[in-house]
Amino acid sequence: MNRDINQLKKDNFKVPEDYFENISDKIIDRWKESDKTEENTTRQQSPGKVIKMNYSRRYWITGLVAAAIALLVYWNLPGKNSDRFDPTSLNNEEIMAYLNQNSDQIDLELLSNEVADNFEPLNFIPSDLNAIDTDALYEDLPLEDIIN
Amino acid sequence: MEKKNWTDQELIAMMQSEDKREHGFRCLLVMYQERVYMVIRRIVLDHSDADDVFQNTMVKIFNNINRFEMKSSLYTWMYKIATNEAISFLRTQKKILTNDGSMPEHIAGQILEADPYFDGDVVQKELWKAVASLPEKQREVFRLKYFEEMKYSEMSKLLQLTEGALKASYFHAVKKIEDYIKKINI
Repeated sequence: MNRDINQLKKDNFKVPEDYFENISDKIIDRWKESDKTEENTTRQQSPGKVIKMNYSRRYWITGLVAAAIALLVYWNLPGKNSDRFDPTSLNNEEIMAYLNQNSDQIDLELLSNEVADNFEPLNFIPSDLNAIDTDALYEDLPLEDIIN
Repeated sequence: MEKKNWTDQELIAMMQSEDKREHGFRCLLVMYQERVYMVIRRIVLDHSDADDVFQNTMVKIFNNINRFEMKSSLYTWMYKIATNEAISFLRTQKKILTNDGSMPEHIAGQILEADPYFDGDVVQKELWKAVASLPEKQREVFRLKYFEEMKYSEMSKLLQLTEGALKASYFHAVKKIEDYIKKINI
């Protein structure tokens, strides 16, 4: 059977007698109660506002501070810089002799990592390339595009 | 308390002042309690659940009144909180909503059957079952248009949807409900 749903519209939902007369006080009481709880929580949290740090984080920070102090002290020791190893003081014969004696102990992976870490990629660009737009170097362009 | 038509500004001023706050809340209740309760009841269907959700909603409204920035009408703001509370109650506490936010017809039927404060005949019960089984957005549009008789322009502001989309949604909802009632042949 076809029914027009507009004819079915009726207020089917009832409430207990005096529900709306009494509910206001109930709600106001609940609000006061929740307000009090919220106030107490805020009051308990407010003095000093101590924020507890978890232990692992505390150890990390302590460790980092200690390491920073140790490095500062180390680099500023009197005469420290003069003791530093100067690779240019070695001549080629000394280097070849060292490599011949220790070639079996050289860790190739470590060596290649060292080279990669210390390699300066722009060093091979000749100094007379003034015509190059230097801004282009900051873009990810192939070298051929920059030079041509 | 005598019912009076306070403006949103008057109510907000009372509720946000330290010494008139409680009076302001009482005025707000007098003005809007039945309307907000019905929004919730039409979603959860059962009076006892509606009562719980309604009280929680009003307490939340009171506790957050300072956050109301008058970007919409007070009722719109309360409507959104009430709808949200009711749907989240059905979803998380009752766990009776499906993925699209609809309530299975047989569950709606059981709820209405058990509620002593539902006063409808067989056809009206079926109407409510059909309404409950609509997807969430369609059901909301239907409720607002059919029961609250809200204008599309007003609804558009409330739900942030175009009037065309709302009309299409309402049309689909009516069609589904009529088909449902036709199918059960009562």
